[in-house]
Amino acid sequence: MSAHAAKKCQLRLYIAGSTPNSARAAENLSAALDRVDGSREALGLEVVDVFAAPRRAVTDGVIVTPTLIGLHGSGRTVLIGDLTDTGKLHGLLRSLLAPA
Amino acid sequence: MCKHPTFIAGFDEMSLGGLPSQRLSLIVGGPGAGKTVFAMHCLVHRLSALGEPGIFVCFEETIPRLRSNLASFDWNIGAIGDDGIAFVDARIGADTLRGGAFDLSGLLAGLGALRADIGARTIVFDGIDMLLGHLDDGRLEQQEMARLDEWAVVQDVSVLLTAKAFGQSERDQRWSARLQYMTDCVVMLEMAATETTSSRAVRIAKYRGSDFAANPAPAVISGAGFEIVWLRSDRLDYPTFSDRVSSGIDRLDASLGGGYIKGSSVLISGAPGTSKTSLCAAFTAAACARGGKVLFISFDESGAQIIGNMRSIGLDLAPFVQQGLLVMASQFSCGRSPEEHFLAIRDLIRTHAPACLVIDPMSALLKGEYHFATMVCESVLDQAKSRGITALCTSLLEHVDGELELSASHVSTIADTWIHVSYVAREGERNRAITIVKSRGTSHSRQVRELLLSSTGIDLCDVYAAEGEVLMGSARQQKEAELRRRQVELDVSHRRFGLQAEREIVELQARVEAATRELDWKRREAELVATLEAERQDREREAHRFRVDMRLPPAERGSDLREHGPA
Repeated sequence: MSAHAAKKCQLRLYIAGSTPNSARAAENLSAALDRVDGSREALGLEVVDVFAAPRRAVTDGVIVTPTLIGLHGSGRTVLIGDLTDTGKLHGLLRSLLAPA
Repeated sequence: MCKHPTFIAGFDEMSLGGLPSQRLSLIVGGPGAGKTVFAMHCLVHRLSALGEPGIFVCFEETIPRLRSNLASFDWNIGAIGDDGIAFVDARIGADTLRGGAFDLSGLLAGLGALRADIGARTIVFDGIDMLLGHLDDGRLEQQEMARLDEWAVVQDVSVLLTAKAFGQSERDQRWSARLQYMTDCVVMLEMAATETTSSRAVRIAKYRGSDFAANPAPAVISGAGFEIVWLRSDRLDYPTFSDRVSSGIDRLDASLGGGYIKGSSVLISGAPGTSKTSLCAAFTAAACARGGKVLFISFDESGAQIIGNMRSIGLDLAPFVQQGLLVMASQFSCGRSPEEHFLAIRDLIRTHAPACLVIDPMSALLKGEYHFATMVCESVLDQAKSRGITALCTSLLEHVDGELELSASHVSTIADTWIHVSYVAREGERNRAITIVKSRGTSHSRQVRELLLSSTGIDLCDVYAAEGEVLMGSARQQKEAELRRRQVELDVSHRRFGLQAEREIVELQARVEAATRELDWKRREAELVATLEAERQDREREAHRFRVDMRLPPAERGSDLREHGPA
């Protein structure tokens, strides 16, 4: 898997403006990307603010915020919440880095 | 309070206008209670009636599955596009991981955009309990409900939440209390089941800021969707008539002061075989003969069967069916709830717009242990009355204390006229006795009469009261013959007395005439005698004077004859 191909946005974080849960999720994700080696370089991150782009929430099937979606091939892993559960967050990042 | 009509027949009446606008309403019910149908009916009909789009958010089912379930209704759901009703799949997958605190901002932001796009004013959250199950935190549940509540106001939408009926567990009870507290209107959909029957009911458990009908009302789910059989509480606007409608039996009309009152409801009660159906047929034939339309609804007996049976008493209804004046509709009483029957009857009334309605027997609706049976009977008569239809319904009484049972069923209370037909068994035979138990607004005969059925028709006959009992059938005929014999005897003796007196009068008159004649003769005889005597005395006096005169000197003769006549 080339780094270039992996850059094709494998992580999407849906937040609701700067609400406390969303702000915390953004911070926690940023910290995790620093902690998990190579993740920031390998995984492309798109942050979607549902207040700014509400139609994305409906089309992408986002029910709650914050929601982190990890895309891998045809499947996707959904992690909801403010990402304070670092164990689950790191696990998700690692599974995306691991070769299919 | 601004209301949001649901277009669910009956519900908008119960709730005095519909669900609250800009508020949360909760539709609660067990599995299969019709929560989704209730909500969807509202969306579909607001779209068709007001051209107002809606949004349907599923928390439980996939959209294709939901669409295929809804396709069975006559709503043509396949033809409704996303700009009419937008379906949103909001299931949180079972494989979704939870990694901390979250809220519904994402969904609400998305729905807000969708609402603005299509101009929706009603949003359904189908299976809100599934979403709350994911929150799994009392404080969070409350917080998100408050968010939703606020959102409804900001977005100017009515929000319908559907939720499964709550179990007895502590958690369910907590949800129940919270949901009911956090919503402004709570509608309970109930399924009442006995061993052999099941029926639906709708109850408004609360409605903040509005009056509402608190009693449960029966509901039906049919191809048309969700419908509540709602009996209006105001019955003051019935049209009233003074015209009479013939019962088809002249002497019964006479007993009723001219017939049934137009637009009134008549109950005919009686045991099996007391010719209740025949009375209905006579009424039907008379109405059709006047050119009126009749709807004849029979339970458990086909129209053809009734037409065939009625020929035996000289009533041929078949021509009226051919002319389109008479519609015979037969239904099986079993297998449907009374409220389903009611809707079928109401639709028939709407389609055919009859002047007269016959339901034979109405008691078919009271079969089984249906909770709303008596209310449904009332609603049927209400339908007839509000349209000025003269309704005749029969009631089968199987038990000795049937009258009591019937009174309890209220049918006899709502009926304006109650005619009871019974069997009177005496001296080895059974005869039919007909009584007018009550007849509102009309003077009526209180006499028990015998009902006579023959190949030429139906008639009433006076009965004889003897030793505190009425006489019918052959006993009546005996009595009649005896009375006739006595009458003849009396006639003969009267005539004999009359003749005798006449003869005596003639005799007396003859005697009077004879006596008069004799009297006349006697008078004439007496006159004759008197005349002869006077003449004789004159002659005597003449002779005497002559003799005296002869004795005097000739100078004195003749001058003083008178002074010196014989003394």
